[in-house]
Amino acid sequence: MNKNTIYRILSSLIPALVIWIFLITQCRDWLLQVESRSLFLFDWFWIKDFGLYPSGPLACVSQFLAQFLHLPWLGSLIWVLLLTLASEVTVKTYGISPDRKVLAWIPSFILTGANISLGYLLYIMDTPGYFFEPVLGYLLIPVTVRLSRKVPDRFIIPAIAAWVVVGYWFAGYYIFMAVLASVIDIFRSDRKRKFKYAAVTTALFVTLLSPMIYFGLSTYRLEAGWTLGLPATSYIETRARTFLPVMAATLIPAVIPFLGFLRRPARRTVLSGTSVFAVCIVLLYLSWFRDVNYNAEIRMIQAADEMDWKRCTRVMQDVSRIADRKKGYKPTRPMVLLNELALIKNGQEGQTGFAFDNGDAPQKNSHEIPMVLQIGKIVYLHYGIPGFCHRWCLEETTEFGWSFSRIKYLTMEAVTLRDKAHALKNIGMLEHTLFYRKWADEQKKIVQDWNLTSKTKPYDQIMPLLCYDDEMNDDVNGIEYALSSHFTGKHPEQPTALYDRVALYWALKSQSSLLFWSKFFIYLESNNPTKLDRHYQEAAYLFSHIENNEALKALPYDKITQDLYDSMMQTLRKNESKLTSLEQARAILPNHLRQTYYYYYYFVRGLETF
Amino acid sequence: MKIRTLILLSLAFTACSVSVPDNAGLSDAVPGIFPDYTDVVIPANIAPLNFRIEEQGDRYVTLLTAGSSRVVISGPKVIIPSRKWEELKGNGRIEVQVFVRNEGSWTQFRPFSMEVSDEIDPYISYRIIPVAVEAYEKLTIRQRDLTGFREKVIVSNTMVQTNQSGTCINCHYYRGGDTDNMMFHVRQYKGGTILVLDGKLNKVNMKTDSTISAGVYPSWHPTHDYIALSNNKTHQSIHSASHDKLEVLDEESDLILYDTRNNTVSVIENDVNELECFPGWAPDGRTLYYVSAHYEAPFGPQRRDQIFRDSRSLHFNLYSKPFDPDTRTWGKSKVVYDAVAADSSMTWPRVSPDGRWLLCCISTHGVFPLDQIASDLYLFDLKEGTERYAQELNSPFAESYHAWSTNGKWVMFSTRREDGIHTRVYFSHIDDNGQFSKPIALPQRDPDHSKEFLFAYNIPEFMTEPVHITPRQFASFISGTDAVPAKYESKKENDDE
Repeated sequence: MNKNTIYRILSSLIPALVIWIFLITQCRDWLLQVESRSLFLFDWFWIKDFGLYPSGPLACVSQFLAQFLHLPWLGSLIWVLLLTLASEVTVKTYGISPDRKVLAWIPSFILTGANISLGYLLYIMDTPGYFFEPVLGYLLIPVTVRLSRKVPDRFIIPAIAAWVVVGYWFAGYYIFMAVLASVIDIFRSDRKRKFKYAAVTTALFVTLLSPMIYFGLSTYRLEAGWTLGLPATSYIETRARTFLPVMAATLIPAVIPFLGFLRRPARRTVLSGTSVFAVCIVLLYLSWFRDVNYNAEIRMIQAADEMDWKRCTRVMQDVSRIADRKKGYKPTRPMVLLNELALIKNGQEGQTGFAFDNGDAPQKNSHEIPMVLQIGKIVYLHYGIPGFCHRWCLEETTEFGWSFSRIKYLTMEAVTLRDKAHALKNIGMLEHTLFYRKWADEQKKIVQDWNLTSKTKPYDQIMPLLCYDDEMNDDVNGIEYALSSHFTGKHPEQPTALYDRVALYWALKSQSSLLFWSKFFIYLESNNPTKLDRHYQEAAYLFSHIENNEALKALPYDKITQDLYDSMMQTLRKNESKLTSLEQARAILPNHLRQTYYYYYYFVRGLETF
Repeated sequence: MKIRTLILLSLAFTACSVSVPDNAGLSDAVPGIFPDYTDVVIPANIAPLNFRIEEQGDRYVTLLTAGSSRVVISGPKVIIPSRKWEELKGNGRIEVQVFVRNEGSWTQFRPFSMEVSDEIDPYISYRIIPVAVEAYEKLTIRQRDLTGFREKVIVSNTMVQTNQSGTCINCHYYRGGDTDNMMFHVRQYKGGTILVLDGKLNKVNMKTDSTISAGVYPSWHPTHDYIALSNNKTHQSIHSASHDKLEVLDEESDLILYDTRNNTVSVIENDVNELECFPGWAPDGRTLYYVSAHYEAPFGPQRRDQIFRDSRSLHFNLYSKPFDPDTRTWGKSKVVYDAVAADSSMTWPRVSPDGRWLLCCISTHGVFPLDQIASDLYLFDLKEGTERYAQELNSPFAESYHAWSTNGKWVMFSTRREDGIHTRVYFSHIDDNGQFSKPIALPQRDPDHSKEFLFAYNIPEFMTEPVHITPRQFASFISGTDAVPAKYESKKENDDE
């Protein structure tokens, strides 16, 4: 085996391996989130609906494949196998010199880049099959070119017409690219001139006609007909961002015939190939949405979906470590909220709830996506407000389609309300899935014996929060406002110890001494703690001093509570003359003082929530 | 070669033909089937009532007999061929026997019947909506042929709205089931009320300076060119922890009369301390029924929150108001049903075509029964002045929007009895004594449809014929036409009545 043969084999294997390893090492949680936002039901009633609109069958296949992302190694392996196939078929179709094989990987790198660069658009994609659809669509292009070469001249017109009509139904936009590539190929072939012109005319005519036929049969707007099948969101106007990379990749086969050098052997095979490959790797790395907060959010959301609250907090700690090094760093509100929820679930909110970075860093996104679309259903369910969880599952579903995750949360929300009919409806859907069947069976057992809710995760920690009378509200002012008014408003007549604990924490968050004292004494009575958590001590110490209440000042506070307070006051007094803004005051405080309720009370102000 | 293939196919077909087991043990119970079509009264012109047998088993045989007609169907899904179904119905009473084989032995369940009765209007229409609060992009109004399974879109949101500009279509209504005289509202983008008058499309803006909103819930006058509508400033609020998910209330509401020929709006009722809603004409067009709740709270930004806090105490009474259609003069309203005294709330009063019965929803409070589990249907006998809980129609879940067939023999209503969330359409026959038959679900080609379909049916209305205007015609008219503002006219009142 000579050097070039080894190179040719490696030029297929290495890009596939690189992408695969990149996906499973860097994007595990992200892949799981992609999967949780898709759906595939082994149910003919559900599947047949894909046949009702152009590109539906392709979306169906794509959603079938997306379910395997549930096992990230498997889903991403399928992805790289499809990429390899796309590259191999491109090489074979266009007779690309084996020395230049690596160039056929360019579309695959673009398609991978298109997926991993979506960033916050992940939350609002309304084409649930968007992950696999482009590569499947791309594959159709060289396949169509190869097939068209086998069609005799006299059949070329009906073949193109039939292929466009059927292909448009099957794959939408991608068939246009496939026909474009075929027509170019036909034009450059040895066919008679009259057949070449006939092919072009037919392709043009049928391409224009197909969307119109389907437009007449459907309720879509005509302009949408040209882009059906491309990754899209109608939530905000982002067509260029979701469409362009895929359009670029699918245009490449139409350009290849004009690049004659691709068919000639390369003189410096290894060197040129390696450089192209290196450029692709760099581009791939650059296209990954590497924003620290975005990735932390994804990891925390995934941890919350798995109810791994310790991991959720660990992610926040990891990010906090970065924050130490990176000046001016702020977490986002979803991160703060998820971390607080995790701390409550772990019983650590009173001890460490205010020790983490707080902040309202904006999303690194051109359009702000409401926090409720990121974490609404999670937070509402676990804080014991199932009605709002239900609402947001359905709002998301209406906007972005049904998904494994939305059905799961709808099931859990119905179980917490002991709404048997509704729970069984959702369980029935999950029973038709590959990876959620077992979970659905477990939920069915709970529905048949409601007593299990007190022993089963997550209900054991949600049901005690449902001790209040149903109330009507909305969250037009954001999740935090809704949660705050829920927990700091009217206290339930028969609260549980857990409810009192959570209400106290939210009272602390409100920075109101009045709310604090009212919830504090209720908490003391129901929870009867042997030792008061650190932040509760700090709040009591702080408010008793502000109000100069001698009786409350005399409570048995830990020495550290008093020392931290004194230390903060001394630091501020010492620098009093130099401080002209809150920002300056924040900056002079050492880290250990920034991790107190004192700091939260005095210096965390005006956070923008949404 | 061809003949041989045919013979083979015939042999294969014969080999698979179904026979009724002759050694089955008898069971006293009727089989569990979905939808529940056991011992029901059915319209003479209804589509096949396909169902699924929900009994444990490995083989299923269903025998349908009526007179000399006989159909045997194998499998848990009983899909009845249309031609055979027509034959069966022609004999008046269909008897259904279900046989199930489980662990090697056959059971014959107690037979049940389908009694063929009066015809029903051949078409209905409804909105197909996602069960969300704010998101409604994929909303359509569709028409369904009840004699078969054909369903077509009348108009779709997706054909009008753009990415940036949402549209909502609602409150479709037909004058006596006539689709050449119909209406629906388009809200937000390209908004207005779409009125089809004698087959011609019109677009109207019913909001005037003297009224609080555009028209909402309609009732078309049976003899004259008027439509009574409510005006509503509607808000929604979410239940935090209840089987009821949503509460819908009006901060303000009034009643208006729209004159379709002259494009004028006049007030019917607009007392600031009353929340008037849901107009419904008596069939002679000389009485308008409506509901109203007395509510006093300061007007301003807080009123909205206040009304939700007070929602449990909002009780809507039923009123009647005399009307002379020729002079367009109104008499004084009087209470027909005192819901306040009964600590309940009445909505959606609709009178039967013969004027004898009034069917309505009664719930614990509020004005939007669709989202209240407690909402049930009640029947008022307007001749005898009595009312009763329509036990035959109700379920533990919400029963809400209802309509009378044009011959007055059938009622159609929406219910959430199947899963508590998705509203479905059911029908029931009413006899001369006001007794309803056991409700039947809207038949579907695939009996699993209702279990699998993830949208809700909303506002079912009868039609005597299909809508002839195509969805594209509606869409291009909505997109390309500005709404003509209605003119305001003062109300005529007769104080003597």
